[in-house]
Formats: sequence, C-alpha cells, structure tokens
Amino acid sequence: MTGPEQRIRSLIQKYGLFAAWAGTIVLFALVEPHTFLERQNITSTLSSQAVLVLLTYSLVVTLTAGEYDVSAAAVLTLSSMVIAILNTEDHLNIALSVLVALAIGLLVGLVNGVIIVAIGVDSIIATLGMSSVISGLVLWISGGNTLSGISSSLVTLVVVPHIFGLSLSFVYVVAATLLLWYALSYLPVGRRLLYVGRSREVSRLTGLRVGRLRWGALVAGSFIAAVSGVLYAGTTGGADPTSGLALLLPAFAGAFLGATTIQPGRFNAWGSFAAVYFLVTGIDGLSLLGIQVFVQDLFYGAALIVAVSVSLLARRRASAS
Amino acid sequence: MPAALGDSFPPVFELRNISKRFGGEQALISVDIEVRGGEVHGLLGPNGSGKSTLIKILSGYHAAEPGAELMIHGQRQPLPLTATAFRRLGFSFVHQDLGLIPSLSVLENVCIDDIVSARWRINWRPLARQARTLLAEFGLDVDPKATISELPPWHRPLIAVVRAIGTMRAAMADDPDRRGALILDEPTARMPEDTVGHLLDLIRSVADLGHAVLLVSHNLDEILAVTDRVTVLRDGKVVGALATAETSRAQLVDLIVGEPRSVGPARIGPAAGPSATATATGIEISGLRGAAVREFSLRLRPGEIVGVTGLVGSGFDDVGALLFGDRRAAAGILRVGEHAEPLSRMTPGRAVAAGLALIPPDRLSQGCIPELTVAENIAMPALHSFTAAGAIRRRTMDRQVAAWTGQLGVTPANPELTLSSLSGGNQQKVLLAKWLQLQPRLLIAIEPTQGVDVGARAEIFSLLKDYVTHGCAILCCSTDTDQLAELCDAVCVMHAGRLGPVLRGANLTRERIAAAVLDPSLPGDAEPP
Repeated sequence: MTGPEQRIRSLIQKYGLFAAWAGTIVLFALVEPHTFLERQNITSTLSSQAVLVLLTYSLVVTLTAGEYDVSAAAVLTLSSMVIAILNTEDHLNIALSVLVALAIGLLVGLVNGVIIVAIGVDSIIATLGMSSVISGLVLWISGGNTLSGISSSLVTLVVVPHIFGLSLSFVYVVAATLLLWYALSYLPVGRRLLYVGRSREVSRLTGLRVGRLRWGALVAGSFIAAVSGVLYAGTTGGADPTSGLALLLPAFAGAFLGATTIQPGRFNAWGSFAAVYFLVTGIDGLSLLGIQVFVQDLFYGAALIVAVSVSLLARRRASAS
Repeated sequence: MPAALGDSFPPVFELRNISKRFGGEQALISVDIEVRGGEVHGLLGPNGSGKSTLIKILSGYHAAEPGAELMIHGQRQPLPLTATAFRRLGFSFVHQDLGLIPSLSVLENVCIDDIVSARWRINWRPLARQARTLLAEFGLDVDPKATISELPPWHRPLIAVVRAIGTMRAAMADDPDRRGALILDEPTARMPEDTVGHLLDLIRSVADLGHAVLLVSHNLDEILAVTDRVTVLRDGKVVGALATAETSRAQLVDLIVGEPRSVGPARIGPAAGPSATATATGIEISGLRGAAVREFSLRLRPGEIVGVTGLVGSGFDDVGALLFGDRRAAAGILRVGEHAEPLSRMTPGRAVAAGLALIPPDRLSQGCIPELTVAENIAMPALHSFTAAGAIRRRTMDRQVAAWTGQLGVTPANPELTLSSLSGGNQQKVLLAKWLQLQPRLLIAIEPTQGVDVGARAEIFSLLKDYVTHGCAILCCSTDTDQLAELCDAVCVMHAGRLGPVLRGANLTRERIAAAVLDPSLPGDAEPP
C-alpha cells in the first residue's frame, strides 16, 4: 500500500500547487520575457496582494471551524471606510482610526456570533444578511463617495518599498502566514477549531466548548478581515464603498484551492498562500498578454469550482479504496 | 363483522420455507408464518433471532433464498417481489422510526403518497377531506393542518398507523372487499406507558375490519393484550406458534430465551453490602430522573463493571447520556469519590472534568471523526497535556499516542492513517485509547462492541476488564446479552424507567438476562449494587 507510487502521489498532492505556480511563472516568462520578468512586475505582484491574502486567512479561520463567513469582504470595506472617514473628515489620529476600525471588526464578529451560535441561524444565511447590512452602512456613512488622502504614515507603513523592492505589506503577509500556520498546527485552540469544524457532535461529546469555539472563530475571522481593511486603506491611501466586495470570491477560491495542497483536505496557511499567488500570477500573466479584465472573474470562479470538485473527488476515491 | 369470527377468516398471507443466508451466517432457516384476516399476529424473538430479516423480506428489501413460497389470499405469488409489488398487493408498513416528516403537517404526512405521485397538480380539497375522514374513522382527534412536531409525541405512532391503513386501502381501491396486511415493527417502543393503550386500540380496530396485522414487539404486556396468535423466532427458526389465549407470559419468556426457567432465583452472587470505604472511593448515582428514566440509583465500587439493560424505551439507553450531560437530567446527583455533582447541571465538559468518559453508541458520528487521523482522534480530549508554554509539543504527543495505540493493539500501527481506513474493531480501540489516556474514574460504554468482529470483541473485553483493575469502574449500557454476561460483574435490568432485577454471579447468564428484560416480575438478587 505504501509503495513508491503512493509516496509520489502524496508528494504531488502536497506540493502540486507550488509546482503549478512555478509552471505558470516559467510559462509566462517564456511567452512574455520582457514584461513578465521585469523586477517591477514581480515586486508589485507580490506586494499588491496583501489585502487578498489577509482576507483569505480570515476565511481559513472561519472555514476551519465549519462556518461560512460571507460578510468578511464587507467588513474589509467597512474597516477601510471607517479609517478614511475618521482620518480625513474627522481629522482623528491615524493610529486611533485604525484601532476604531479593528474594534468594529471585533464587534461585527460578536454580532455574527450572537446570530449564528446563540440564536442558531445557519452561518451562510446570517453572514449574507450581515454583509448586506454592512454594505448599506458603508454607503450611508460615505455617501457613496470614494475618499482619499489618508495619512501618509499609514501608506508608508504598507506600500513604500523597503526590502529588495518589496514593500512592507509583503513582510506582513509572510508574518501573518507564519502566525496562522503556527496557530492552526501548534496551538490547542487551532486544533480544537479543526475538531469543531469536522464534527460538532463528537467535539461536544468530548467536552469541548463548541459554542465558544465557533463564536471565537467568527470574531477572529472578522478581526482579520478588518486588518485586511487596514492594509487596503494603506495600499490605496483611501477607501471606496464597493470595490472591496469583489475580493470575496477570490478569497474563497484561495482558501479552497489552498486546502488541496500542503495539508490536503485541511484549510491551511501555506496552501492558501500558494493558492492566492498562483491565481494572481496567472491573472497577471494573462493580462500582460493583453487579455481583458473579464479574465479575472473567469479565472477565480473556475478555480473555486475546480478546487472544491477536485478535493471532493479525491476524498471519494480515498474512501472507496 | 364481529371480531370473534376472526378465526374463520382465511389467511391474508402465508410465507413458507423462508430461508436467508448472509455470508456464512444463516439468518432464517425454513420459516413458516401465516397471518389471517381479522387477527393481530405477534412476532417475537430475541435480538438477532431473524425478526428484522423476515420483515425486510416482506418489504422487498431482501430476497429470500430459492424454495421460498408466498401465498396471498391463497394464490401463489412469484418471489422475489420488489417493494412496489408488495405495496400493490396490499402490504403496508410502519417501521420503528415511523417515517413521518416532523416539520410538515398531518395532512401532508398522511397523504404523502398522493402528493408525491400527483402528476399535474395537487387537488388539496379532496385530499384534506380524505385525510379527515380517515383520521375520524379511527377516532383520532387531530387537526390535519397541525404540524407533526407540535403534536404530543405519542400521537405520532397513531398517525403513522393511520397513514399505513390509507396506503393499504389505496392499493386495493379497485376491490373494497379485499383484505390487506399491516406490518408494524415495534411501533410502541418509544411511547410513554400510559399512552400505549391508544395505539393498541387502533391496532385492534384495524384487525376488526378484517385486515391482517403482524406486530413485532418486545413488550410481552402488549403482545398478551392485543394479539390473537404469536410466532416466536429464535436463532432463525420458528420455535413456537401458538394462540395467545392459550399461553402465558412465562411460557413466552421460556420460548424466547430458550431455557426453562429454574424455580426460584439462585442467589449465589457476592453480597452487595455497602461499606464506608465504597462510598469514599466509588461512584454513586442517586435519584437520576430525566428522558425515559424515572428513578435510577446505583453504586459502583472501584474495579466493578456494571451493565444496564432493558427494552427500548425502558430508559436503560438514556442513563449514559444523562450521566455524561449529553442530555439534561431533571434531577439526580453523581458522586465521584468525595466530589458531588448535580446531574441537572451536567455538561460533557463538566463530566470529563469530574472523571467521566463516554463511549457513545455511534462510533463514527459521535465518538470519532472518521476523516481525521488516528493520532488526531486520540489527542482530542488531551491536548492540554501535550503543551509546554501554551504550544503543542508534537514529539510528546506522538509518543503518547504511539504508546496507547501500541498498548491497545491498534493495527495497522500507524497513527497517521485516517481513522476511516481502519476496521471497526480498530476504530473502537482508538475510541478507547482516546478516553483511557485520561484515566476516567467512570467509563460509560454504550454498546461498546457494536459492529466489531469477534476477535476484536474479545480483545476489547479483556482491555476493559484489565482497565478496572486500576480502581476505576465501568457502566456498560447494552442490549447484547452475550456481552453483558461475559463482561459485567452485575447487570441491572430496567423496566418503565426504573431499576428492576439485578443479576449477579450464577444468575448472570445470557438467558437469565434476556428473561429478566422481558418479564419485570422475575426476581433478581436481593440488593441493588
């Protein structure tokens, strides 16, 4: 059973996505050697995706606990808009503005917890409603306008190139990946989230505090989404009421595609990291080839469906053998 | 037509020479059974006697071995028949789970056949009229618009039976004089005692209309009250077919159990006198009440394995869940050593902290997570014991897990395999390892060897017997009389939510346990443990 063939197959499964990522890089490097491999293209690709990576991690946390939080992208938008309004219109100190935005993220998570854990509404329904409520609030407080002119100190902390042309935001991404990886694999709470996500009944009968863990996951997920909103505000120097919402599907694609690799079958940090950059590289290359904007939607949507289908088929085959 | 003429009715269906083999095991051996119009026919037998196999053959789920014969109204029918063919011939079933959809209305449930087979549009008005007439005919005063889940639970079996009558009639609509067959598989098991009478009346009235009723039940009171004749199965064979009026409870118990009852109980077991030291180190459950349990008090001494058994609905299968806080008890106190815990506030978390552990009956949906690895399943309740400075030490965890899988003989000995790839017996050993590493003072094991092969079963027995020698106790809730006789030091039999006879020592045989389950009047050993 554990012949070399089996071992190769599990290697492919574990590192396949990294290989696919390398493959796309080589492919586009051959097709578009001048633009694709240009240093600026590489660093901007790596750096510009911090917001999406963080949003994906927010979903990794809630999905591990077995909840779908589709309000995460709305929290991102709300967080960046709160910072923009407090900082540019109310002239509040940027650090305080960020703190308020993060506190609002926690608050949304708590409310989601009340609806999902205490009342018992299905998470996808509860957060779908919450997402719309938040989007409405954002339009209300912003008057539907795009704001700009956020304090340059935040912008500096996020986008200004520092190390080998990579901005600090990529450093944040790596730090966040390490943190999430450590929490999910080495902290008891990370393991407990996995247990609860896989079976609430078994977890309950093992004495785990299932309600508290689910609630905690929703709060943590919402908090991370708010952090990604801070990065968004820092990256763009402003906020707009809708564009953050378009990141929800790419983030789900990243989380599910990430769950097919590194630790196949588990939502995991390094897998999601590889998945997001694989998708972004593909889109970057295609757009350099002159293919139009719609390719993004097409690519992310297809990736989500393929990722979920592949892992489902793999699980079915594993249980059949 | 008066019921007294029932005997003169011809048989509605006859099964002859029904055999069924599963692999090497002979589940049914040349069984004959005949059910007449106008009679309620009881089908009795211990667990594993072949009752369910026979019912499944009648419902078209299993095919009988060649040589079997089915006669309906004296006409020979070709076998095997499909489920639809049986239904078309006027057979109608009520299974133990009743098959009602609780969130829908009485009308939608009763008329479910018409609704799903409606081709174009559903004609609600005649359906409602039909349902109302049917319910009224059998004296059921329920609003067809009421949701099933809003009705008192004991109404549900009644509604299921009335629906079955409707189905039976619809199948024979072209010939109103024909008699159908209603097959009821333990419909009273989950009903409160004082409401069973309603269902028995309903069953009687169906037979009085001339239909044949086959009633599977473990409850001899019901069998004696409502049936005209009974057939007793044991080990796949018919061991008795007799008229209810000419039999007695004792005779039925002997037939089911297969051993003539000795006169007077032999009291050979050790004296169960409580001692001061027993309470200091042992486990005491007092005044437990909740779910189907009305009053349950028990003392377990260290090193003791006590079994709890009874009929479905007697409360024996609720005891474990109530003690562990899986379900909330109405009252009761659990004393573990010197620590007392009110059971009305028990949660699984508190139970684990108090030194309890639960092996639930459904291994794969309650005990373990099949898609996680063996190691992850074992580590589940003990994560805190592998941490240093708040983080899990992988090496400590792996060593501990490997020690336990080795000690319990889990094969293959690879903790990184997913649990679902192991055999049932090995999965059960993983479940044991998961709890034994915490060294619980009281291990509650519900059907601990269900779906486990013979070899693993013996291993699990010796593991459990070995475990209690360290001063812990095990409470084993089970209907498996072999298991109880082999594993336990004492077996408590529950009737109607209360503790009945307690069997020990020489009385602790598979036959005595089975007899005590069926017959509450049977005396056990004098003192409860």
